Amino acid sequence: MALWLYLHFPQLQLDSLYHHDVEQQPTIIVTGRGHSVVQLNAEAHKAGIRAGMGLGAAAATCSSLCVHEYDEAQTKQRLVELAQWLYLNTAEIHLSGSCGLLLKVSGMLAMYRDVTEYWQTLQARLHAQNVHFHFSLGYSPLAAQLLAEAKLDIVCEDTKRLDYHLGRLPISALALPNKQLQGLMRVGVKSVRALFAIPMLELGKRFDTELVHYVGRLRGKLHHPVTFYQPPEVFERQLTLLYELENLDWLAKPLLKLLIQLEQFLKLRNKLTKSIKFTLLQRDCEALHLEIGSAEGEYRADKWQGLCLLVLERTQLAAPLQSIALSVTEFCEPDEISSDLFSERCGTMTAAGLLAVLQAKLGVQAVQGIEPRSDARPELATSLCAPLTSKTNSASQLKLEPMLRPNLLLPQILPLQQPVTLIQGPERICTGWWDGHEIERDYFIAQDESKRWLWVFRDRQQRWYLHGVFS
Amino acid sequence: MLALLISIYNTVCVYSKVCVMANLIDFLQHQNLVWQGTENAPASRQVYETVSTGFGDLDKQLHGGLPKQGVVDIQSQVGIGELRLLLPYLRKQTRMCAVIHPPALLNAHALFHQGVDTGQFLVITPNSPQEALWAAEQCLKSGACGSVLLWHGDLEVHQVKRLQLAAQTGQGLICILRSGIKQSASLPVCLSLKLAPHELGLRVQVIKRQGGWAKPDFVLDMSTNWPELTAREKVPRSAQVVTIEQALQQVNR
Repeated sequence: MALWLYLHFPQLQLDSLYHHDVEQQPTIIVTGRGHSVVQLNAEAHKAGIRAGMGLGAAAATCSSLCVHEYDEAQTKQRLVELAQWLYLNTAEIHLSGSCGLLLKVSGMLAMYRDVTEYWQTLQARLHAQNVHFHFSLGYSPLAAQLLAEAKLDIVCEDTKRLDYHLGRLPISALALPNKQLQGLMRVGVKSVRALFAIPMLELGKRFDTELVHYVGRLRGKLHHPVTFYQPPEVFERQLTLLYELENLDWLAKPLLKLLIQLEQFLKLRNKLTKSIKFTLLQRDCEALHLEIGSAEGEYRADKWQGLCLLVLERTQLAAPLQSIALSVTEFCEPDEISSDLFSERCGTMTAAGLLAVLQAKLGVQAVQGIEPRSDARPELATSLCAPLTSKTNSASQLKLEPMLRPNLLLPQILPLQQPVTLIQGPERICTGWWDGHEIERDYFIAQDESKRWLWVFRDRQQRWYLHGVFS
Repeated sequence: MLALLISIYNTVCVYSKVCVMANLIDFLQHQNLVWQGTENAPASRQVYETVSTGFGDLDKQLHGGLPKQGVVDIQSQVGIGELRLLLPYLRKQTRMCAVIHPPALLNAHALFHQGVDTGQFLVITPNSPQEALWAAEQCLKSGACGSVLLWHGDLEVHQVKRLQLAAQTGQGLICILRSGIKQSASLPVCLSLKLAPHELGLRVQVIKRQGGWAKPDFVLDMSTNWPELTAREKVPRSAQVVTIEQALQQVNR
């Protein structure tokens, strides 16, 4: 039977709160509708506060109380951090609930002389984290958990002693619904030992299958489902150049070397990435960070190299280059192939791929989409947006009265410089009093001497301006 | 033995001369210096596939409309209706439309009211003419863009050829809108139009159409699509010439 170790952290949030100066202050953590105390430090205990007390009672007991609300997400995050910390010493870690870690010991004993040495290593690591914990071994995950939660805190792999300790636990320690516990109490089963004394077959006859399953898992006879923790994957490589580079053109080869490593890394895991980060370490200078993005996930080195070279074209070095580093922290799953197998493919890229190339070379700001806005002021009626995101219904679908507007708008309104002939108008636009950009204009369609169609307006002071061109 | 060598030498000489001839013809053809009778083929044998421009008159004059893929050169000053000429065509496009280096901001509101899907537009503002050409080539080559509008000045023959190749790869159409150009040399484009303002819309001159005869100018009537922007028979209602000086005077008053 496999040996398991359970670590129970009763006050994880409280432990992660601590600073040096707060040490003296009584602190409690409350939860639920009644704000009952769930975690408290030694100072609070000394002041007379006990777990389960209401917030009112606690506040009355101690005047200088520091109160925090229980934060499940923060606790879980801390637990993951602990799992990552312990992962250096033990391979199979299961996150159990929000305050426990289940470690499979049997597999790890090949690396250590015995359980004691294994435990000493783990204990040293846990002490470095400054957390309170209870622990126990057990021959089933559930047994280890129960014993740890009962604060057994001894390391022994003797089956009989473990069974003895488990048998001494009261029935109420089991994670069973209240109704079932009462049912067991009523027939005189008060401890786990008494429960184990009943044969499984009899148990199945008298109680429901859930209890049988639970007891089976507790005794290690039935399978207890566990999923082991996997540390998040990060790709980080650094390449020290044999000689200093002054010309960015020569960077292509070393760059490709890193990118090929990335390709292999991603290929093995069947993952793609949407952005990579280069760090160019310069002599006696601040390192240069370059972030290169691609709108669609990509793993191939040559594609990334193409984008990198476009970005490097825009980059200037302040000092010779000594080494380069590549790091990728975010990965994405490969997309389902959505294109039709039989439809004719033309061109070499998808829209997202094209966008990545354009943005790498010209900068993100130089490539934009446009979308209409519902604003009567012409300069606010159209706005730039991230490309490929704007979705619009055309005017005919919305059954709007079509308006005549110029296809090209000047980026800035200019005073009218040339003589023009007014053809049509005026169309008064008088709005915008609510946001400080108030306008009152009479718009005209006009033609200048070279027969160009212009959109001009006259403001309240009878000044004439040019705003657009009916291209 | 010697005779054999001489005969081999002769053969090689003749062969190399033939090669030079072939190269020369290729070279001249490449430079568009050889006139071939097949160029004046009947209209039924179109050199390129066409798509409708959305204007019946124009389609008839161009024998079907704009080329489905390739380079179209439009010489026109800004603001006489050159973009309106292309709007019916753009409205029907399903792929993206890249707008490169427009002379002013493209007005999404106006396009919206003319029934064009603004979500397909990609507005690119490059820093230099070289970057503009690069972006146009990338957009065409990708196949993601069905049409590209490029505002550009003078063009070299080799630049147009690159764009033509890119357009073939991605099966797209690029319209190069040029104003105030000095050069007069013929460019290897599919279609070259020169636009001039007219009361009814535009006066269109087909400078070049691949596989087609030269034709007289014609007037494209836009008064049905944009009645407000044609100076029809009616006299301007409030003909009033305002100069900046007058405006300033009014302000001072």
